[in-house]
Amino acid sequence: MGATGFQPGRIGVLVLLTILALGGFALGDPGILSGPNLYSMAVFSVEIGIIAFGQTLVICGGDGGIDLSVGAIGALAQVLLGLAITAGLPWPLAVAICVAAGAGMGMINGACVTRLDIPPIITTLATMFVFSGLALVLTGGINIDLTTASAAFLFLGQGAIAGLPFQLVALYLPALLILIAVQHRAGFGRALYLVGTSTTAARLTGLRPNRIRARTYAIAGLMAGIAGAIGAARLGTASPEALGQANLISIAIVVLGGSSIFGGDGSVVGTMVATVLIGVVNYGLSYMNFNPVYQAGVMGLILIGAVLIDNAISGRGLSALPFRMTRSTG
Amino acid sequence: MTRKITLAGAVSVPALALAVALAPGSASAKDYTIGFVPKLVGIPYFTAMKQGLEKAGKKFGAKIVYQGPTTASVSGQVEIAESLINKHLDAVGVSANSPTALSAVAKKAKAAGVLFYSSDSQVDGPDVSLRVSQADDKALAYAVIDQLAQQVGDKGDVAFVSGGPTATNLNVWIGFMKDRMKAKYPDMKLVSIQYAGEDISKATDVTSQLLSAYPNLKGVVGVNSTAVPGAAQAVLSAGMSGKVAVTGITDPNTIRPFVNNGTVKSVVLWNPVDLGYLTAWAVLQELDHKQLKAENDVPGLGKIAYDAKTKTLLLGKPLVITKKNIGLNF
Repeated sequence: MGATGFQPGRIGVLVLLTILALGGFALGDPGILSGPNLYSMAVFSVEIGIIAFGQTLVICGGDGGIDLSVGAIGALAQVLLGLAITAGLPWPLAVAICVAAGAGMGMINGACVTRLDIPPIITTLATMFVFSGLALVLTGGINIDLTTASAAFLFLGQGAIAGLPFQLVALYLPALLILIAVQHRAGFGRALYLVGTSTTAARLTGLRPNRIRARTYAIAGLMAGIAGAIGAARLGTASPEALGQANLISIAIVVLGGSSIFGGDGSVVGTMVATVLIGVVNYGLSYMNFNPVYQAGVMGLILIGAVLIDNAISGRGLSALPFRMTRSTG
Repeated sequence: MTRKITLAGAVSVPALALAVALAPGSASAKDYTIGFVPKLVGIPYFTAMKQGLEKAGKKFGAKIVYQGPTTASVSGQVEIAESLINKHLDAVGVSANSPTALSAVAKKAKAAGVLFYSSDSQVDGPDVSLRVSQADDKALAYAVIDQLAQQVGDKGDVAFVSGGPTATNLNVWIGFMKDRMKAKYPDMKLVSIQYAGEDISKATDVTSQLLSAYPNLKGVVGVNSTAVPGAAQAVLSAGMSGKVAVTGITDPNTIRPFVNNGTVKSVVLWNPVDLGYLTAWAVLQELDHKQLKAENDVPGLGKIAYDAKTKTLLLGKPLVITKKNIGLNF
C-alpha cells in the first residue's frame, strides 16, 4: 500500500463521517444545506486546505519531517503583500512577492533541515517564532487595510466563477490535480515515497534524499504563500496574526487524511477529504451555536475517533498504536 | 469488541452534530433573533455585554445568539458573522476587530436582507444600519475630574499618568480633562503628564517618581486601564494611601484590590451590561421600523442621544465604580 499512498479505507471512513456529520447538522437545521452555507464552508476551507497539501508532502518525506511554521509563513507573506500594495506596487507584483516570499521561507526551512542537520520539529518551531515575530515587527501589530485595493485583487478571495468560489475553482482544485499527478504519477512522487520509507534504501537506489526533502519544504512554503494571498484578498486585510491556527491544524488534517506521521505513506486525496470533514464540522458547530471554545476539542475527538475506526476496520485492536510503526527509517 | 468500537466511533460524530443542533432549542415564531459577534469570547467585558443583550432580549422579546472567535482575529470574526448571516437571523452585529474588513460582511448582510449593526467597536461604510457607541469621551473625562475634585477638595497639585503618548482616545480624554479643570476647578493645578504604556509596573515606577518630585501632590489620574492600578500600587507602597487620591479610567476587575484596601475611592468606565442592553433595544427598534429620534426614552436607561448622520446611538452615561458596586464582573 505504501507504494501508492492511497488509503481507500481511511478515505471511505472520512467520506462516511462527513456525510453523517452533514446529515446530523441537517436534522437539526435543514437550512445548513443551503447554497450560501455550502459556499461559505468551501471558502473557509480553501486556505487551510492548500496549506495542508504542502504539509502532506513534508510529512511524506519522513525522517521526522514536519512543518510547524506554515501558518507563520502565510502570515508574513501576506504582510509583505499588504506592504507592497500600500507602497503602490501593482497587485500582480505584490501577489508574486507574497508567493515567492513563501517559497523562500520554505527554502530556509529546507536548508536548515537538510544542510545544517537541525531536526525538522526544531527548525520549524524556531522559524515559526521568527516569521510571525517579523510579521508583527513589520506591521507594528496593526492590520493593514486592503479593502480599497484593486477589485481584481480582491476577486482572488471574494470572486465567483459559475457560482462557485474563485479560489476553489481556479486555485484549490488545480493544485489538487497537479499534486495528485506529482505524488502518484511523477518520478518525484515515487522518489518521495521511497525516501520517506527508508533513507538508506533511497540512497542506495541513487536518489538524493536531502535534496528531495528540501523541495517539500519549499513547496510547503509556496503553498502557504498562496494561502496568505487568498486570505488577504478574502478579508481585504493583511494581518500578522492571520493563519495562526494553520501551524497545527494542517498537521492534524494530514494525519486525519491517512498520512503516516513517520513518512512514506499518504496522499493529497486523503488530505483533501480530511479538509472537507474538518471544514464541515467547524462550520456546522458554529452554525449550530456551539461554544467555539470547545470546537478545538471536538477536532481532537474526531482525529482520535478516525484513527480508532480505521484500526478497528483493519483488524487492529485497542492495543495497537494509533500510527503505523511497521518500519524504522535507516 | 472491534465491532463495538467501530459502531461507537461511527455514531459519535453525527450524534454530536445532532445533539448540538437540538440543544439551543427553537425560538417562538414571533420573536426576533439577534446575533452578536464580539471581538473575542471568554473575557469578562464581552460576557457583561452578553448579559445586557440577554436582559433586553428577555424584556422586549428577542432571542440572542452570542458567538465569537476565541482570539481577537479578523478572519475568525468574519467567518462567524457570515455563518450567522447565512442562517438568516433577523439582525447580525459585531464589535469589530477591523472597521474595514467587516464592511464587506455588512454588504453581504444587506444583500441577504439581514440588518447589520455594530456596537462597542464600529464598522465603516453605508451598509451598517445602526451603531451603538459606549461613552461620550467628554462625559467620561469630565466624570473622572469630578471624582478627583471630590476627593482632593477641589484644590491642589495633581498629575496624569497615561498609556502611549500617541494613543488617540487617551489624548482626547486628556484634552477634555484639562478643559474641565480649567473651567470648573481653577484651584487644581496639573503639574505633570507622564506616559507608561500599557504596563502596570511601569505606571508604578512613573508614579513613584512623581511622588518624590512633587511632595505636595494631592491626586493622580490614571488615564488608561493599566495606569490606575499602577499608580495605586505606588501610592500604597509609599504609605500615602488616603493622602494622595488615585482615580481614572479602568474596569472593576483590574482595580478591585485597591478599592477594597481603600487606596482608590472610585474609578470611571461605561457599563458594558448597559451597552449590551441598549444595543438589543435599538436593534429591535430598527427591526420594527421605529425611527430613532435625536433623544430616545429607553426603558431602564433613560434618555439616550442618537446622531442620525452617523446612525450612532450613544450610551453616554459614564459609570462610577466605588466600593459599593466593585462586585461588577468585567
